[in-house]
Amino acid sequence: MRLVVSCLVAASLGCHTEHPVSEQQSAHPAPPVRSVSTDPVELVSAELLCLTDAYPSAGETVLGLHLSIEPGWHLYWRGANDTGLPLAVDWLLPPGVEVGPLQWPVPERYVSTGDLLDHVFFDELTLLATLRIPAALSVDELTVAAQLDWLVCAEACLPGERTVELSLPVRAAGAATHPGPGAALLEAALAVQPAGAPADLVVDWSVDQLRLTVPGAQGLVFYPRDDCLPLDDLIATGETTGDTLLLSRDLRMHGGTRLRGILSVRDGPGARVHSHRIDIAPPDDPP
Amino acid sequence: MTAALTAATLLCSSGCQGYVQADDKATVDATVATAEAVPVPEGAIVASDFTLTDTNGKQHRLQDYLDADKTVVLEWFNPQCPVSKRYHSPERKMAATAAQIAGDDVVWLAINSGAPGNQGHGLPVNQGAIQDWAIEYPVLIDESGEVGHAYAAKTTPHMFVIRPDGVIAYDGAIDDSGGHGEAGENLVVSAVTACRAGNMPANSKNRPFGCSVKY
Repeated sequence: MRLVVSCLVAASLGCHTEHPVSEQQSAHPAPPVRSVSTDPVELVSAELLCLTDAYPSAGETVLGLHLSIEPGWHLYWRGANDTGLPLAVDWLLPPGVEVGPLQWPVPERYVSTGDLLDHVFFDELTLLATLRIPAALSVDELTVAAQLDWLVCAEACLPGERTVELSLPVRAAGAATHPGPGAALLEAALAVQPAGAPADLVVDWSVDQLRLTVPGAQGLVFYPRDDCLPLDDLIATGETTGDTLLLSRDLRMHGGTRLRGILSVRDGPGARVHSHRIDIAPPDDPP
Repeated sequence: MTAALTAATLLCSSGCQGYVQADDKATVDATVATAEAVPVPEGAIVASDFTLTDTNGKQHRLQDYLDADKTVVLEWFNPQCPVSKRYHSPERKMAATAAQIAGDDVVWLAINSGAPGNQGHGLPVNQGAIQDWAIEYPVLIDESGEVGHAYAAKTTPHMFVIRPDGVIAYDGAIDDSGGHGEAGENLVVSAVTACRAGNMPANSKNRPFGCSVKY
């Protein structure tokens, strides 16, 4: 329970709502030196949460996976990272129950020795997913579980895995529900989910470059997903304090063809950063 | 080929980024003169030469192996990185890969570019891993990170396949699993197989996964 309380405090302070568009690379001081033999169980704790206090029979609710990370250590986004392994989630579901795709928060850019760029999470993160129970169930209680598998790194890297589960009563969809375990944390995570692409985003494609412009913006950061078309030199080109990002394509690298990832936009000095999901096919790609 | 390699080597010994793109005149003037004489595939990258010492004190020079007509596989290695570990023990996928492509025409070298004080550095821990995991190929020590930087090695493991003519035929992950789950294709086996058939692999560069090299 300590976990939830500390994170509710963090959420009320605006965790994940303010992503400085620049100056992120130096946002984290050198992590504390830890013994390589540190037990990874201590470095990451995980909990399965639910927006409601019951699972809706023939209905939907929102599940959340909340992870707290030892200060100085980080977990990896499923991004175009130079190193690491993304946090992996395998759902363990009763028959007839479905979970939608994971919705990730916006990561941070993290540059380490050797000009290595990763997209990572420090301190904590909450992953969201929609739980669907397509048909009425004749059970009073249901247990949903998720198996987590991660690589957590600071100066060293350590593996970790955990299975988390959450048992809740089953109620008819539409029946009155109350906030579930960690609901405030999930509401906060939902509130900062990236929106759709900005209406005024202009993307110019050329053979070896992509120009992303959000007119009037005073800061842009692009976080490419792992299946984004390959980009080069992202340390230098992935963020700007202006309104235009000039991304270089890596034409030798095997990979996706679409521009996929998250674009964070700062409208002005001190303005709140808003984030957007980007998924754009090249112009000659049939719809 | 030797001329281009020499050019690359000279450039790198004077502090270039190590990788030499044979067709990139703007980047590498020194290779322009030799590129015409060298039948390398368009856009090919020529490996920079190195000499490193293994955990038994034996020196290994890349060019010596290439001159002997070997295809050279490089595996960036860290005995305390969980991803390296996973590929060596208990599944022994790395040993199985080496066995699958073994032959008189292939040399496999592991390289540890970790700096002193970092995870996986030091002779005892490397010698211990070689023994515990029954690694049958040399582990070369590059504690300055010079060779790692020359190849832009990012992760452990990060795999390279170098043809006897010095062309880097493969630069990327050990397989297409992304680090989780089952691999569909062992990309190093595919690369060596393509080289043996005189071709470049269909997938010659991709993003490797694993721990960061502990420079």
